Amino acid sequence: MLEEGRINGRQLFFIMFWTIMATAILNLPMIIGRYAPRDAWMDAFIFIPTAGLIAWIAFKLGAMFPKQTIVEYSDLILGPWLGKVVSVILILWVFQTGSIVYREVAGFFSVSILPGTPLVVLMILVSLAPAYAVYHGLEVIGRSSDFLFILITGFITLIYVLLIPEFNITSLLPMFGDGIGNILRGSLTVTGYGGEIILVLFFFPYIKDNLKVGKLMLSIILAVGIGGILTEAAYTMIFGLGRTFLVFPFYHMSRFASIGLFVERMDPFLVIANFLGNYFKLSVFTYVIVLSIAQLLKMNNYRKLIIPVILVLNIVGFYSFRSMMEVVDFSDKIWPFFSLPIQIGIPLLLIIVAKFRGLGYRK
Amino acid sequence: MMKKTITYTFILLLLLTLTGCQSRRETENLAITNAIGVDKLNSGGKVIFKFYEVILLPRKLGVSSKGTTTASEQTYEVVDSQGQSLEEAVRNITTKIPRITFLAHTQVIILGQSVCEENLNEVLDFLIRVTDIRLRSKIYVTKGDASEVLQAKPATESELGKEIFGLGTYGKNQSAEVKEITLKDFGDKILTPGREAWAPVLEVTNTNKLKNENNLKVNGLALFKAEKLYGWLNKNDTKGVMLANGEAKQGSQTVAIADHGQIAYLFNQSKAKISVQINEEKLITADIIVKLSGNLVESGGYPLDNQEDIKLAETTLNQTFEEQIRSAFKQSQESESDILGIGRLVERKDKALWDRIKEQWPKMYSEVEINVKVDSKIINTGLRNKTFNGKFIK
Repeated sequence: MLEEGRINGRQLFFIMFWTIMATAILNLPMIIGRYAPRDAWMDAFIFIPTAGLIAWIAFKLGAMFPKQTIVEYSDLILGPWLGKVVSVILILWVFQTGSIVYREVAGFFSVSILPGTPLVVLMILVSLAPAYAVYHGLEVIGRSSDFLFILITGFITLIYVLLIPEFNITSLLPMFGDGIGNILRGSLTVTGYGGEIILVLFFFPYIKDNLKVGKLMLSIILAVGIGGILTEAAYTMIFGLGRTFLVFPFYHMSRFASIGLFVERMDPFLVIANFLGNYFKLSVFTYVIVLSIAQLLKMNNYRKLIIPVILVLNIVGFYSFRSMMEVVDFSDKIWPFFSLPIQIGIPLLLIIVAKFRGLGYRK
Repeated sequence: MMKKTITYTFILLLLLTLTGCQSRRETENLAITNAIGVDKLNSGGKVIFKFYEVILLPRKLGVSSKGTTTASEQTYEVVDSQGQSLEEAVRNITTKIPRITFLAHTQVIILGQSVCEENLNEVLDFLIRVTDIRLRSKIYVTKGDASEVLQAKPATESELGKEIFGLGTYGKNQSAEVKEITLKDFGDKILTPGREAWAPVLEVTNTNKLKNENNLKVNGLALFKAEKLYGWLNKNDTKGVMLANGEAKQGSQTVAIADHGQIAYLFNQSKAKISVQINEEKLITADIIVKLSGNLVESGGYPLDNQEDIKLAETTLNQTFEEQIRSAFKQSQESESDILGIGRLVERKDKALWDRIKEQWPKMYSEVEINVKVDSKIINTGLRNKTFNGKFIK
């Protein structure tokens, strides 16, 4: 067995919530702002049904093979050769997205609180925590989420509460002023972020009672959607149309919060809270990659893969993008167009072929 | 043995992290700036920015708190430099100051008139882009050059930035004639279509005639049209704008009533609602309804014998406030500066119409009609009821 540990439903919720949300609060506002600055929060409304559909398809597939991961049963469904091709496509997609995430998190540090530190050093620092967590396996990631989730969510909610006096609701009006087309275009990347829920399929057998997590996966999407509505609406209400031009509105917002004239400049706390959220995202991505490669190559331990995989993730992230602007541009103009077909198409294909061949577990 | 070697090697490796201290910044080496000013020079068709930093001298501040220094010793220094870009100007300051420039404590940004008239885009771009300056910094505009204001002496505070910051922060809660605006709001108002920006104006005055030195005061507003300074509002009109905006927290008004005498009224609650009406010919009318409640704080010869007197005082106040709002509105129409955001209201009411007219909105704004209705209530008359009026005759 590659993985001995198990996580429960609550831990799955905690992990996957921050896996989707952590970079969504950093990066998505800049992307949505290009198309629909005033109606940005509506994209989160579109997100709930679309990403919910992806989550539901993923759950259906997972529930058909509750004792195997997607890398294992794609062999079973499509045959050893075609199945391997599908697995490799999936791993490459996770790999590509993971390298963007590493670049993004390190980039956020270099833009916000550590502008003088070389990006390479930041990348090493950012990689340490996920590397350690992945070394100890899924259960450790799950247990760390038990106490970190409240901490992170508490900190980030606090900042929104402190900013309530700055909210100017009229900034959101008129509704649908940006046009439906723009709102829909903006929601492409948003849905792609929600589609990261399919990562659950890579460690589905290690969830306790995994035949019952369907509703839980939908509630993750719902929670992220509500979080997205609040975040996007808050950015517009605080910064007005000017949010379109801000790099990392989250950072601007944490700098702007103030109580009276004495509690101010809380940005380091917020950056750290966000990094803790990103620690889950990075851990899950790294874990999924090393586990899947080990399963694909029939290794009996994934641990020796951790360092090379993280190294390559960072190197790819470092050399793929010259600046944060390129990262944002890529996530806006290219990433959703190959991610969405993979997130929806491959699970759907596997379900159809499995049904056709009469494979899979039935209740 | 092996384990020990690894442990000690690791501890030695930790020493490497100390090299991170090479870019440390000690407090005593920082040139902490709490106010900056921007001016512009035109030399041969090229724009040269002048940049001022008000740098604190903390050691002197510390001594003065013990009361050993004389008042003449200055606890700050204004340093200026120039450059083709603002960044170049900031870097040029580093050649004059033996410390590290540190802008993160900037509370006040003073923009000269010439900058506001022509180069506001460049300046705002720099201020919002640069990491050090926070969006909560306050914006002030001067008539003439910012340098004149920066040469003034603080009246009560120890340094200039704190003085200007206090003028706005504490002034806006006590008088409707003073208003401050943050960099965030200023930038947002400039880039949002259908709403124009304003900024408070700093002027040099003489607060203390005995000392005979220049101090500062906040006097009225500067009006912008898009990214250009277009006009000014005086103190009274500022009150009108703030009443119509609903942003006035407290303010007073003295009115003479017929030939009975005069009263002074201090409102401490204000609410305002602006709505627009669009008729069939697409003519736009704005209705401004303001509700005030406050105290009668002074009655100079005006009899307060019965309810009718209070009623009469209220009606006279209403007329005065309405007149102020109209005058402020007219003034803003003359500079085509839609500071109340009527355009945004039109956009919210009729998006299709707005899409057609938004190009020529500043022109159309100057033809908007308004109806103003002020309802001011006198809910208290202080600690005395009847007017003080000489010998008491029963």
